[in-house]
Amino acid sequence: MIEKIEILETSGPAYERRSQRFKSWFESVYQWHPNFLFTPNKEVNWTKITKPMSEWKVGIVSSSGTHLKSQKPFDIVGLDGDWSYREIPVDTDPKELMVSDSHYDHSDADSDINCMFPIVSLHELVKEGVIGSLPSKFYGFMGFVPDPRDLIAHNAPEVAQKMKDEAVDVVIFTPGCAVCHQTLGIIQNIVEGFGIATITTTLKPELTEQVHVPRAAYLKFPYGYSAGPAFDLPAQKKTIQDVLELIPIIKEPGLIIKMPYRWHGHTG
Amino acid sequence: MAVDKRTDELMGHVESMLDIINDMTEDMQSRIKKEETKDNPDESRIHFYQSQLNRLVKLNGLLEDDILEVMISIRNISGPIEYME
Repeated sequence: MIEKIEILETSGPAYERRSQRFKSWFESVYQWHPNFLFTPNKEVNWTKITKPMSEWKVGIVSSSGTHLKSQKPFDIVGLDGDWSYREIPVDTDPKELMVSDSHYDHSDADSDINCMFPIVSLHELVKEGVIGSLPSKFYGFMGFVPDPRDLIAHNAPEVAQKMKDEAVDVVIFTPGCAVCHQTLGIIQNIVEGFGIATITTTLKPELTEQVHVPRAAYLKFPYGYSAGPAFDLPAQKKTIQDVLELIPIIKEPGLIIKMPYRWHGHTG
Repeated sequence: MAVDKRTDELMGHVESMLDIINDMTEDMQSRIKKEETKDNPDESRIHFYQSQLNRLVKLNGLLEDDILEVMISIRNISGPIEYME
């Protein structure tokens, strides 16, 4: 468990700087993606978890563009993005996973998917008895969805229902690119609304806080490392465990916790 | 490794700077401690070391916060730039 829980500032100079970064990004995103539709969650859903962590069934939803090599790649060319999803069986060999996304650098994740899609970390945490079990499937989205209305109407609730049917208790969300943070925040809130406690890692807190999500953990890492540094399983596992342990600690919706890790650059 | 390896090289330089700053910080802290434990500590020396220590802490903060933040955003943009080629 992290020693000191530090909540992301909601006032003062750090908050002002972050707001400025959001403003700059918001003004420029329309130059790159003219059809971007800013879609913050109107209300933040909230599900309280009462079971001990050792009994949780924990799922993964990632907007990093992760899918099986045998599955159809996500559309990374279309200007409208791709709001489809891929089901990833729990016993998938990580080597059978790949990333289809060109909106961020995933070169390390191409060799070590666990730094973004924490499938190995979760299996390890089950083995150690830290968490209880895993569902039969995890879910991969490609987060570049400039206009998320179809996602909200169809695919996000569909995935949420599938996880509810499997009695998933908790879901960890991991983003890929910038726009991914909106996409993922929307899916997260819908899943939370289905009675599943959720937490997302965020690499872009200035957007995550504007989208309004139930719970988030800020990793000051570049895109492509939303589940820990590459090629370092102990650090990846610790990251995921630390993030999951925040779920019962965060008592009010919308809080973002600053994780006490620092990016050290080259990892592979 | 980043698709644009130069971003990793830049980060490597920052890491090297942080290592040197850490070394200098420990040196100043040790000098202060040594002076303070003397029978007749020289306050002006302590002040001098402390002044240097403050500068090192400030530089460390700039690198850890502002510079690192910009470095990460440079790395974030360099990915799609390379993938566009």
